[in-house]
Amino acid sequence: MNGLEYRTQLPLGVRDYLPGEALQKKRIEDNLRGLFTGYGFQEVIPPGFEFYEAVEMGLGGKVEQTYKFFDRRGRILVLRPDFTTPLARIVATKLGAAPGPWRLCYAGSLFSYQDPGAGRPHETYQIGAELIGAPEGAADAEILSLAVEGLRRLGLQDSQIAIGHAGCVQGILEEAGLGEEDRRLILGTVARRDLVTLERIAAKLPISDSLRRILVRLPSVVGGRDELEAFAVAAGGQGAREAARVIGDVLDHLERLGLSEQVRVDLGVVRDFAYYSGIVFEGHVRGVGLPVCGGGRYDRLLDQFGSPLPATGFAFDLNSLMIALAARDGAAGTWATQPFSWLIVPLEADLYAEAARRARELRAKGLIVEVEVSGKNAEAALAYAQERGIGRITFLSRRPGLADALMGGGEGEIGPTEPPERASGQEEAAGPAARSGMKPAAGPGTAVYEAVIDLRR
Amino acid sequence: MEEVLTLLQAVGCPVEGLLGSRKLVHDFPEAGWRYLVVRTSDVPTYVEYGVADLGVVGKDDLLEERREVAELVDLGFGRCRLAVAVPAGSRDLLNGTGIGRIRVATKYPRLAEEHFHDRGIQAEIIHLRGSVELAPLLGLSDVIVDLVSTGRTLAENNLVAVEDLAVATARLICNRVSFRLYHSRISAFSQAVREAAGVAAGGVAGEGNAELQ
Repeated sequence: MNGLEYRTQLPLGVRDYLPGEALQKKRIEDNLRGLFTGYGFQEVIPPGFEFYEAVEMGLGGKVEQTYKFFDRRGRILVLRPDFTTPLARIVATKLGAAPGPWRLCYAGSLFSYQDPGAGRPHETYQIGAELIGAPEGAADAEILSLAVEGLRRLGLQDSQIAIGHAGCVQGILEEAGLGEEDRRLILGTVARRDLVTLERIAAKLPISDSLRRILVRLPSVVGGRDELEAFAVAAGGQGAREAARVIGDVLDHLERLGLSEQVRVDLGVVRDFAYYSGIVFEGHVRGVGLPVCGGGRYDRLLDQFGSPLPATGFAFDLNSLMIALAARDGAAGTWATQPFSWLIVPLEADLYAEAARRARELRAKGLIVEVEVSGKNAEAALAYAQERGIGRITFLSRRPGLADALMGGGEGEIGPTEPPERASGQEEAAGPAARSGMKPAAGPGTAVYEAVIDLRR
Repeated sequence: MEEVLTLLQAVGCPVEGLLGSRKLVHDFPEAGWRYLVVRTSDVPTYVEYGVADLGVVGKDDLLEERREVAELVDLGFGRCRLAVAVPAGSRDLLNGTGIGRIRVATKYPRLAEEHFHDRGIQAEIIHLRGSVELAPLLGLSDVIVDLVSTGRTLAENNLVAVEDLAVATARLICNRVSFRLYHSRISAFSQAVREAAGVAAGGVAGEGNAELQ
């Protein structure tokens, strides 16, 4: 590739968000931020990169997927691969003095290499919340409420949240008395939902038949309370039963809040990271391949920063949310269409100041106003406004005839001083409607005529 | 394909018009099924993206593609070995010390690379889409990694299998989200398939003759 191609292309795995999509992303974030704020969560902003040592404990098996580079002293730096670990670090080292629990939220990008050919982005956006310092129980129910409410606020009722518990799988593995490597192997097969391999491995394990049956059926314990009950009864060990009870409690809580409709039990949910120690969950929207949200309890993470505190939390994946919303609402256009937007076009160069003055007046009322600065004539300005989805145009000119021609001699309402939502008058069915009559505008000196055209359909 | 149709029939799914058809999409709305006939190595991709909820694909393609799908049942048919094959006169090619770099032609570049990496042999992987057994003959590669069922193709090209990478059979795979969203229907189907596949396996002696393409 020559120099120009490098300059105009992007590296694998990253993309630009053009205005239409950028606005959609921002709206989702603002919506969810509002939700978190309402529950008392406060935002923190960790840095975009940290020392490898500060994030490695949270990586699970994904060490190879982090973006690494060196600082000038040769220390390894890592582009932020997740938020939970930095937030744990912040609470452990900077917020511990205040009495807990701590409710923190965050929004921003994460970086990780992906399998080539998988088509997944290397830079993803998350918005999430952590509730640190409260033990298993009500705190987990709160986190799940946030997840359910968030999906509802976005209008994604056609979604499902599946809850599992790390203790279910781990309880069974404990009872089976398996070593570290066997455990990891089995966790991997359950996480991948590779039932065939799971059966084969289980067949060779030196465990009782009843335990083997439970283990093999684990990823298929999906549904509601009945399935959970059946599992709890069949599971021998204390750990697994306790875990099932916790799930049951959370379901109770959500039911009482009227938030349980979209929630299911699924003991096959095994999150990637090694640090989950309790409830784990994932949310999916029909038609979107990756989870739109996920999280769980991770009581052992803060210990790594010298502060043994229980913690639970989750995050929404903005990329997946945007895919879900685009599937429902249609893809966002290139430009962010703003219905309360206005274009003011000075048709003579010396009217620019007047145009800018009017723009300021309108902006003070909360409208979005652009001033035409590139010397376009009326036709070009109209085309521009239509392409950008701008709501109204005002043409300014000292020549009454010009404005007349634009208006086609029609009568109409008073021009640009009224914000669109209070404007009355009929909408034209097709084409831009010329609705304002030509009138001399106020101002000192020579009369300035204006014509206002409403482009909204 | 025939084995898949036999299986579908055995579990009560409609199969009219599938055999010998060149149509890629077959709809059976009353029964609630739609079949997509795609290239076998693309099946995991369709299932991973959720365009198809379920898929039938060989374990060899599953291992190579490494898509994020749930694997539900080993269907038992289409059994083949994935093996390293060398020219018949050089059976010990990979056993000597001081093996320099060898060239490996294969349809499974990822699996081949992993295998030789694990063996500690430096290998240059040449990715071919078909007629892999010709490569050593024409001097394109030293060895090949390919599927072996009866071994006839290898023998015809003066090659012999010396190392196995894996044994591959057809598998029923499922989109992970569908697995959860439609759990009861998929569970029931999976169970029926398992039983039908088990019956079929019990009744057949020896390996199948079909070479997976």
